[in-house]
Amino acid sequence: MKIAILLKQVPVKDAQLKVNGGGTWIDESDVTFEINESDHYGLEEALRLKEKHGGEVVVVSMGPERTKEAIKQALAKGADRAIYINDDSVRSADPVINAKILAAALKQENFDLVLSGLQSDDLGHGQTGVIVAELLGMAHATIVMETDVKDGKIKVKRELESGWFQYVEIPLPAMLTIQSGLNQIRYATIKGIMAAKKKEIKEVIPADLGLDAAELQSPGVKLHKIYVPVKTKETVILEGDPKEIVGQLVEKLKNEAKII
Amino acid sequence: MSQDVFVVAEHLQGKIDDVTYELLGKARELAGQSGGHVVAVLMGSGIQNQAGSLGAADKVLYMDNAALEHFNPESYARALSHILEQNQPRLTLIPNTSMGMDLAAAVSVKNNLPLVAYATDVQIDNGQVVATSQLYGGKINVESVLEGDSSVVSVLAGSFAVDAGKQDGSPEVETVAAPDGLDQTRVRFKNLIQPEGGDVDITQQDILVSVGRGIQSEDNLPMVEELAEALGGALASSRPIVDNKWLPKTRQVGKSGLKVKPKLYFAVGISGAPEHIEGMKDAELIIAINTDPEAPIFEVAHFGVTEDLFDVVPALTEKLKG
Repeated sequence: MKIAILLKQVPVKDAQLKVNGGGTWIDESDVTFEINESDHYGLEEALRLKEKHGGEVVVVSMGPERTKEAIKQALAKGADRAIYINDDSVRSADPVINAKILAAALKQENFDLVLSGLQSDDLGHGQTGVIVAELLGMAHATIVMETDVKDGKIKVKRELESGWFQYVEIPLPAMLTIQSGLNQIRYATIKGIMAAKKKEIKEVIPADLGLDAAELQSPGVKLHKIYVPVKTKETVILEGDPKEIVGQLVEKLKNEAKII
Repeated sequence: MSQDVFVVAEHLQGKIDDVTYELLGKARELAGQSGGHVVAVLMGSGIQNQAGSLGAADKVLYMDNAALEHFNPESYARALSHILEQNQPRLTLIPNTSMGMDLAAAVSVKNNLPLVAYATDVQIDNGQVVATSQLYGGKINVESVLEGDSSVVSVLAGSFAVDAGKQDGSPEVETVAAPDGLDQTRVRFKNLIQPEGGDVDITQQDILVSVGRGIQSEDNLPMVEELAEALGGALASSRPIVDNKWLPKTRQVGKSGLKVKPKLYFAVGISGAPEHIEGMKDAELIIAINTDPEAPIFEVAHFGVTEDLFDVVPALTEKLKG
């Protein structure tokens, strides 16, 4: 089975973010990046499916130079090779444009299964995988919590709202967006890190992928304004050393919550 | 092309979900701005009677087909694509739920409509559709303009009030024929799994002490549990704790977990991703401990502590016990 995992690098969870001087995007200069959390689970699921059914796992990732770090980590964990789309333009507001580029890169490979994380922790559209699938004419399912491949079909458990789940079955080729927590993610071993150095990273730019440039430059969604949200409700921050804070908390629990 | 605002109704087991009413209330406001009507799109099998609970809409478009009995990403996307093709509304609102995540992107591609997903607000301003969405886990907001005469926005549940759109009534119901071969799908629905019963029903608790990623290790869980006991409440959590299997799914608060409304919600080491906030923002009193003063949890908390939870939590427990 030939499996692609769409991997994205995002700011670390506790990154302090501010808007850049031009007001065009966030200022990335002091930001540390990591692999998007649900993509980690997607990669793990891809590796497990390969271990069970054979085949190969290909990392497909797009972004500026720093993205290579994420790709190397994925190769160290056991992915076989990577396609890196070198592109540092910000096309943030429109999920379709990024998906078009990814779809163009995937098209040439004829994957049996394309996986992505459910949602990126930066832009959070949660749509890239599905758009890619639609563009490639693949059947798709989101928020996948379990996979089972049998006889050219994949049966998946989808998470619904409020604790409900459903099972659906999809013939391959298929595209799935993977929810965090469906497996236990592995760490890279020293051996894996060494082996990764010899693995292929095929670097392309969007122009190499036969895309219509005009199509990429006229998004259907345009960035209007980016800002740090103004708090509408002011939280009262309790100040002091831990002992003083505890005193204040007890007072609030008594007088505000009236529970003690 | 019309100026109508469409709302895709979300339902499970024959019951309309509250997020639908949120969107209907919002659609009413938007239809006022666009000068169109509010139209609810109801797709399912044998659920025509549900149209009566969509009284906030001027009209309900109802498509009944066996292939729509359970949510199926493929049949639903084809059905909605067909409806939007026929009607070309100014704007289509879709709940950003498990259903909406599959549906919004699919119809955006099929019908070539601009899409903003995961939005928390929408306006029609001087004829332009502007959607607000939260980025970076709620740390940054973006307002985007959707170009063209028709577009799609998927909206996070909890963004608008339910009441404004929850009206019984008898809106005009127009039955729409399903497109040919709707049951010829690659994706096949197999079965539905009910929520598992838990030892504690966190939706029924007055006091919840909820723990998040900031706890760092499973070994630190008893420390928070002791605080919950000292307060006479139960232990709940955000998603990462359940992903790590440190607590069962039945303790999870948020979009994919449970929505709670206790008298006190004490958030320990929870940053407050939008999916979590959705599940607890209506608690009467919210106290949050998080060392990051910029954490989005402080958007909804009444009182906040930015000292280390490992200092504050045991000290508070001790004080309450003493």
